[in-house]
Amino acid sequence: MDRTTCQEMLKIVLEVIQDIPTLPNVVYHLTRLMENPATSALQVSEVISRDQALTAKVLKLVNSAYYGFPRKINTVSQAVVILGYNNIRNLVFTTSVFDVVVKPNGSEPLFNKVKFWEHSLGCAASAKIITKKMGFKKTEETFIAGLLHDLGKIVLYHFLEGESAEVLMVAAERDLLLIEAEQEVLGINHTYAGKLLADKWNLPRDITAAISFHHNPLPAGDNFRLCSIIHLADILSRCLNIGSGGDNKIPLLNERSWEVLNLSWDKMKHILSEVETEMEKAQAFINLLEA
Amino acid sequence: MEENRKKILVVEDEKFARDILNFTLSSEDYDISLAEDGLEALNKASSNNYDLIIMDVMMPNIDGYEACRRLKANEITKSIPIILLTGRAQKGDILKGVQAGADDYLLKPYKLQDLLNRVNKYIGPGTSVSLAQASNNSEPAIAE
Amino acid sequence: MDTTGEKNISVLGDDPGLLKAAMISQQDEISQLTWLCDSMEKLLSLHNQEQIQEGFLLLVEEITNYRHCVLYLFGDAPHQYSIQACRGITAEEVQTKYQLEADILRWVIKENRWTVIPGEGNGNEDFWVSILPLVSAGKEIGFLLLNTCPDQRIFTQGNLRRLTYIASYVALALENGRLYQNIVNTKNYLKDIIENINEGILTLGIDGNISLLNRNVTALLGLASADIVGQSCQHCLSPELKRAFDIIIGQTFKQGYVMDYRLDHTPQEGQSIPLAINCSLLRDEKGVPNGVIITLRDLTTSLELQRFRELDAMKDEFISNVSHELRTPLGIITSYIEALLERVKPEDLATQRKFLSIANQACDRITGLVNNLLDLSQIESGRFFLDLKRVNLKDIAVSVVKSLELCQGEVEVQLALAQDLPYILADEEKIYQAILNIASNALKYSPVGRTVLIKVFKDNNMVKLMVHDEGVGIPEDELPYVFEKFYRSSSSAAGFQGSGLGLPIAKHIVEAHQGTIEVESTLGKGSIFTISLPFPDGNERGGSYGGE
Repeated sequence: MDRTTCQEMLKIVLEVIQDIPTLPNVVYHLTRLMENPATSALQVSEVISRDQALTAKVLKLVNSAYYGFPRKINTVSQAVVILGYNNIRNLVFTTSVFDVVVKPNGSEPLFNKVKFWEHSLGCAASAKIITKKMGFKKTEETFIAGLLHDLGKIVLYHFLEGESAEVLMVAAERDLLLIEAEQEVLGINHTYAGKLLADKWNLPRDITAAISFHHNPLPAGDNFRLCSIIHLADILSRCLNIGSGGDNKIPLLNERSWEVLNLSWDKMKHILSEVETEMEKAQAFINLLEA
Repeated sequence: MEENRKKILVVEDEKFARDILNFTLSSEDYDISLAEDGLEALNKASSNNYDLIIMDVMMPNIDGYEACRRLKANEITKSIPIILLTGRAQKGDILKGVQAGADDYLLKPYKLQDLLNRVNKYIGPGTSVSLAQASNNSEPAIAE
Repeated sequence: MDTTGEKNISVLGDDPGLLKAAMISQQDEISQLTWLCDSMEKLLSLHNQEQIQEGFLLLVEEITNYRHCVLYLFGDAPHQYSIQACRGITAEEVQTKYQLEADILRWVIKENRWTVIPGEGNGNEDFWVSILPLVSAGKEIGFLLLNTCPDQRIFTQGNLRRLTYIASYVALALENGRLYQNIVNTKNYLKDIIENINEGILTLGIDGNISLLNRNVTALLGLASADIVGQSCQHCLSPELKRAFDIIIGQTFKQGYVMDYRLDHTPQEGQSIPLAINCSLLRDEKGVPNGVIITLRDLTTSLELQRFRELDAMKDEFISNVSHELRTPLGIITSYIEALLERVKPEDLATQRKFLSIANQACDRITGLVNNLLDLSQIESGRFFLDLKRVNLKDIAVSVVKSLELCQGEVEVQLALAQDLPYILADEEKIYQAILNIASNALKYSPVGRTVLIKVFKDNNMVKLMVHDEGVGIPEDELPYVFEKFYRSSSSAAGFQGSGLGLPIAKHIVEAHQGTIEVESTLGKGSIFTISLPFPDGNERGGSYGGE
């Protein structure tokens, strides 16, 4: 692939991304608000409450079995103090992304590649468990990061369906990883495309990092740990044959990541056994999102 | 001068031992009296003039040591030589004998000949009667 | 709600004012966290539970300005918790005011995040109840129940972060404190044990230096001061002790242990402490020897030493008695044979026969005694062989009486034998011995002129032999002990000597024949010993093992 074709491809991608709708206002407000450590729960709930549809969604989600709180949560501000800021933020994000990508106007879903979401879900569930087993608290963050890590594929295979059809074929014929085939055919891979979209949407930095660096976590800098988790979760998901990553190969596990994650084989066994249960819970979550 | 047979008092509680002593000493021409225990020995000794007392130490009632002590304490009998027959050979017992005032002792089992030799030493023919004896006896001493 | 100081957020895009506020807050946050780090470091270094709790509650108060709070810690039973501290409220009031629902509590602790518990109303209450879990490395340590004003400004991201941070460290500190306390308790307990144990305990390292000693050692060994840990035992011990220790330690290294090494320690002229010293190897977790542990037992009042001495004395007395018992018949044999050789006239056949017979009986007596001794050792070691044949108890009784002539003195021995007596299956020699033992006792304790009666008769399915004497008798309280080894009647007049073995051996023999032996006695009147032996209508058997 020569340079000009590459540059042309990039131009096309950027144009496509331009056309993808932005996330709702409320998401931006929320992000700004939450950059301030002194933000109160009330302020958060006020922002959310301006969007009635979102409020309804949020309330439904917080009361779902996924969170498992044994009482009914009646208001968003209650939800914030019970489930915590991060959970609410991630919830809002996920809802918004899904609305744009899966069901933009309440009509038929554009991108409904079941297998794709299954894989993302598997990655999210695995990431959550890995984080727990490592003893970290940011389980919800890694869940969301896992869920959205292949955002770039939506850009390439949904919005640029025509151009990318060849990629899928090449990957299948020559038994390549999807990312390798993308590089060859398009000159641009889904991690980069995803990063572009994440930037447009102003997604939180850690999620953006997960999207960019889940194949090779090394350049992730401060987010190395998170990206390593997503990296491992992605591989686990493929090993367990959950959904499809678009190719038939399992990528190599980065050595440094494995070191940093510091998981023994015992822990790995536990992780593997818990993924299925977590996936069921997550599926309930996704269903609500899609409803 | 009349011949005087020496008188020996034999004190022994075991019958057969008593018998053989009697047999042996009599055949040596001694005048033997017998006693079965310490009490009897004391009684006989104080009422008879014995020249020698041969006494076993292991006896009921008053044992040989005690009898010996009493005999030696008694004015009448204190000068009679006493040979103790003892079955024990521990140092303490010999000392006991000495402390009781015995003149000699023999360890059981003893040879009869040894006993005779010991008897001879004290009252055998050719020995002079001791001065103490002499004072009780008006008979002139037979000089060697 | 109160939004004083906040900008109205309706503007799209970046509001510089908003950004600035955020920056300032972030800086505050960082500075707060730095202080917090220091506080936490200090807290973590504490071991005392009260101090940790105190520090913790102060920090929480600073951040949340609670009205009151209650600290709960989990106990050993799962899900069981109790109040450790309260501020602003008493423990009794807590019970009435707060009903902690188990499922909510479980959820909060699982989430491990500072969580507000929803009340009935929504935002209309005058207080908020929240729970701050304390979890350390997956272990649930406890939780803090807070009652705060329903002020939104308390429940911010920053505070959430800070409280969660504090909670995880406090949980760690509390757990550490608990573990530390456990260690201290165990250490004190062990120290108590070592100090108060009766023995002296002393441990030496491989280098010969004293690593541990208790006060008994200092006392027992007369060591100058207790401050000799770390010093070489070579310097602290007297030459006599040093020698002994060298031997003990040498043996310990060869065979792994030394037991009951006896040493009479003389710390001063004229003072002697009998010690029993045990020593064993100390090994590290790899099994390599890295020292020895020595225990010293003072035997002065010890029952053991008494037992040692008693056994010694018993042994001495036993030997003395036995040799006396042997000397008497030996003396008779000597004298009579000497007489036969030197004094009896060759033609005096009657006397010769008589003297030989007497010597013969004396030999029997010695044989009897020697057999007693051998049997004793066999009984003790469990080897006891019975040569069973058909014998008549009458015959044995007769030969016993014959043997007794030697020593009966002025005591008469009468024999009353039943006419028809069934044969019994017995080891003749041993039964003879048993009867001899009983009968010679009877003789020994009979006064002059009395009679010993031996009766042999049949009674139902037993053959019985009764020895009846008119001697001093046995006191009633001693009857149960009559058949014990070395027992000698306390009522015996001075001079009665025996080995103390005759009766126990007789009992053992009789019982080995499936028989019984009994005694009745009246003080001053006499005693009756009865042997009962069964007569089986069985066939003759050869030898068989009997006894225990």
